[in-house]
Amino acid sequence: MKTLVISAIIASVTASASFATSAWSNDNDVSWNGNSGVYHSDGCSYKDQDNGEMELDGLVWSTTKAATIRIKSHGSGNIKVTSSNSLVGGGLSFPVTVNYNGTADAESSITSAKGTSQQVNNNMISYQTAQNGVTQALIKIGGTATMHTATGDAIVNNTDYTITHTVTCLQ
Amino acid sequence: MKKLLAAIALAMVPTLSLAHSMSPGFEVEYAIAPTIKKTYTLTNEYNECDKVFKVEVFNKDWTPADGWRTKKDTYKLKSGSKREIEIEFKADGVRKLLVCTTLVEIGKNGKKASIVSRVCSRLIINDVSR
Repeated sequence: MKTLVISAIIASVTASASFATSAWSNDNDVSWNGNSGVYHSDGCSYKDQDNGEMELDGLVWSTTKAATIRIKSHGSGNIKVTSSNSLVGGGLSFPVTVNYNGTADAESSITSAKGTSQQVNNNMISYQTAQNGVTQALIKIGGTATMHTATGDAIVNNTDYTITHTVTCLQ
Repeated sequence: MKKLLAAIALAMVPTLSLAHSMSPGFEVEYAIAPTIKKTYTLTNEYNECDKVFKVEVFNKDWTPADGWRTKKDTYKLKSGSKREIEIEFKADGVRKLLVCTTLVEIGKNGKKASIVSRVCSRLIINDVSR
């Protein structure tokens, strides 16, 4: 008899609870629920790297075509472009002073909808990526590089020279 | 139909011209021994040719870090390939490090890259071995 009473009480409580959750209301919202999981892998990747071009006038190399690179990154981090401040050519290396804000036909710029703290300084181009989602950016690297007089004397005619820029993604 | 598919595939090829990536990103580790080993996956996503990447570890202020080692300093990866790189770090107090892979050479002839891509992952190692 005790078992029967307990069963009846449990049945009653269950029925009441069930009735409470399925009560009629004015709430007509329904939704699709899902978790994005690991949709974007953390970190960054690059594409469309394109070398720039520069011409020499006096002691100054000026960019006539900016070097470009596209960067895609996910999560919080920062991107910076720096130079080796070194002119390499003819098997030799010379110190130069790179200025990303130097007056040239091709200038430096950052194009990014979500990148924050975008800065083009004389010696560095940088921005911060967004905390959430993907941040994409196109960086154009232009400006000038100034040689010392001694370096100018060492320049060899009809020789290709290169200044390297490093794009660092800190993830 | 086959020609159409081939045309679509060819049209998509330029979008695959990526550079390199590295995982994992930022991590915090707790070392229960005097050293701790971490594995990073380096991917050469360029579709043009072989690339050579250099492994470097810096302190938080970008000065070269001591107390780490890996089997090789540089790794040559074919286009589209991956490589797992194991790095062993000394655990000493709290270490705040930047683990980087840097593109240094392009192609079989070892041409220097003029736009160098570098990917760095932040790593904090907390020494709890004592």
